[in-house]
Amino acid sequence: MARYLARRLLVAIPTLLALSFLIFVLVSNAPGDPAEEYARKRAGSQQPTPQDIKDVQLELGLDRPFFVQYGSWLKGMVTGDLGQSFAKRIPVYDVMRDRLGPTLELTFASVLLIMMVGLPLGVMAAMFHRHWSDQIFRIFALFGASIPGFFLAYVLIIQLATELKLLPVAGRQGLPSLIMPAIVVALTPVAVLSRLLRASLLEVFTEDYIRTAKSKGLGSLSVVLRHGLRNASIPVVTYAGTVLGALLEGVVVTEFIFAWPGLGLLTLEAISQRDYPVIQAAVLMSGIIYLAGSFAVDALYGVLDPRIRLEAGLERI
Amino acid sequence: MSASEAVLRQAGDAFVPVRRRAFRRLLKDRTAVVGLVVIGLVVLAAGLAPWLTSSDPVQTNFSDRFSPMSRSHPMGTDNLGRDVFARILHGARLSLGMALSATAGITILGIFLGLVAGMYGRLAETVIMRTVDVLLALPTLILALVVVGLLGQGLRNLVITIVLVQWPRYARLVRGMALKIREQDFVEAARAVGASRPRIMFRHVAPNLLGPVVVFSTIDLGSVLLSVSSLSFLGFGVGPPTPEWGSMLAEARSFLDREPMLLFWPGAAITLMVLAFNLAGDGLRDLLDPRTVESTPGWERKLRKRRRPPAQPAGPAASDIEVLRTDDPDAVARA
Repeated sequence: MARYLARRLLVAIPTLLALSFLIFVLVSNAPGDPAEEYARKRAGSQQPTPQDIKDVQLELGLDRPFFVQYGSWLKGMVTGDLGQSFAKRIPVYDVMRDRLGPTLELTFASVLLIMMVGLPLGVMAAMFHRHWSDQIFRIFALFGASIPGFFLAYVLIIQLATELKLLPVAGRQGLPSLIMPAIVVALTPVAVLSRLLRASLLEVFTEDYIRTAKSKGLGSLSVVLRHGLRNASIPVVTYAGTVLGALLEGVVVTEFIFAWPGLGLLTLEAISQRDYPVIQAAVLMSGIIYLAGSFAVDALYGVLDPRIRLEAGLERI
Repeated sequence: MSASEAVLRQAGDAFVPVRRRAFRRLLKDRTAVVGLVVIGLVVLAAGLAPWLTSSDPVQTNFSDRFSPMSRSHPMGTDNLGRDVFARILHGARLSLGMALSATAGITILGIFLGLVAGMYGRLAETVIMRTVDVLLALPTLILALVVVGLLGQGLRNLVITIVLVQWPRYARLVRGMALKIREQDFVEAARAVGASRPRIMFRHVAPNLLGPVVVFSTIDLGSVLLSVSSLSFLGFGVGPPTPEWGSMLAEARSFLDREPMLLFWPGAAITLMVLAFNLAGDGLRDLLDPRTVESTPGWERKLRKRRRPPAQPAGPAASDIEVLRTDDPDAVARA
């Protein structure tokens, strides 16, 4: 197990390198010149002269050859220097740190909601298998997975914020402003998670040890919770890992609608401002979070189900 | 490996032909039929848009702004006095058209690169599959934002972006299937009579994985539509006058207080289509799952059911596992 995980970590390094290169190529070859853009911004109403543009290029280090730029950027990444934001003229590190808090808040609230709603729904749906109420769970899940976040967001805003004036429309002012974004973010994961858990539980229910537990005279709820849930948790944990990763990277559309100043909104802003260092850092961070997430999930498999031994090759499971 | 990919792999193993009998079985699935009917109606309405409404979707009329629902404007008019119903209908052409062409592009690119990786091996495989790994390590929406933000706004760029970020899952799937099919006797036979590698690839291997992959991409249509509208909503789609669901929604944002229905219509249209695609996709997935394959006619099954006590399920059927696309890590990122 430890060896497998160590190898996984080693394999992640070339992937990250390739990722960083891809991002750098992508961003550097984009149409449009950030130097010209900033020169124009700085010149105000006047047209920037070619000399102005050159000055900005020099200042931002955009005049250097491509591989030199990449090399110095990569060196910075490894040593923890994320560079300077073009737009805000402060270190990228500070820009991202300010946005991490809101993203963590939203992630925490959503995960709480997903666990509190998704898990009971899944257990209930499994226990009511072949009962008419199973269909209701199914329809709920189907809707939950189909409603686009932006639509739900506006339905909530119109109902709860503009009509009833219960919650603030947008922004980040204390707990009430967290409610709507968290619901929007949690809806799809709740639907998917409850379905996954139901399917997984149903499969587990056919196992011998469940029959044993039942025949011992345990109540059906405690059979499900004590013997079923843990054995059914592998697909749920896998999914939860990807969800957590996606949440930590920032949920762009939701943050945009609710003006929630998290990492997703930062990425969006950076893209529209052509703030290369911020884009590069944000994307690279997403990649790292994804790899860390899948690594953590793999490591958890062995804990949840001791039968799983991950010694074999490096094929993805 | 995700559940639906596992299902597909099994389907690939068994070479389940998706043929007429399968289609008939699809028609028995009530929810799938509802999905198919909704899709059919909306596509029909989009095609017949100029005949279904006499209003011009881009014609502004300042004396008739924000008018309520009426006979001449079934969904009212927007901030520039344009008929919302006409915009929704004409928008369906663009939104669905983009989703369809993006899905087609993803499928073609994914099949091609997956086949090359599976059939040629060595360097080609290494390069393609490492690229797949790297691309899959990024959330597609963020990647798409970067690509489209850099390519620039526009219909074509939006479609290109979605193709560029979504092909890896298909390539991985196709490669896996190709590796299996490659070992079959008929491929050996073709090689023995001297068929060239491209010929084997396109004439012998590709046709055998086409069915499952096309079904997979059909199931994917709903999520592609969501990606298209999300990007378009964020301002990377078409410019303002053109009717398109995502950009209509973005435009309506400014009139949230004044006329919330302007947000409702395009949002509801997208939701309806995604729901329909998911319903139909659900039925298609059942068709592909060998565990649900039943060759006995319906009446006989009913008879048997009556005679025998209901058996313990051997495991959950595909319909239990996959009401949803559970293999989509970006379902959240899109939220």
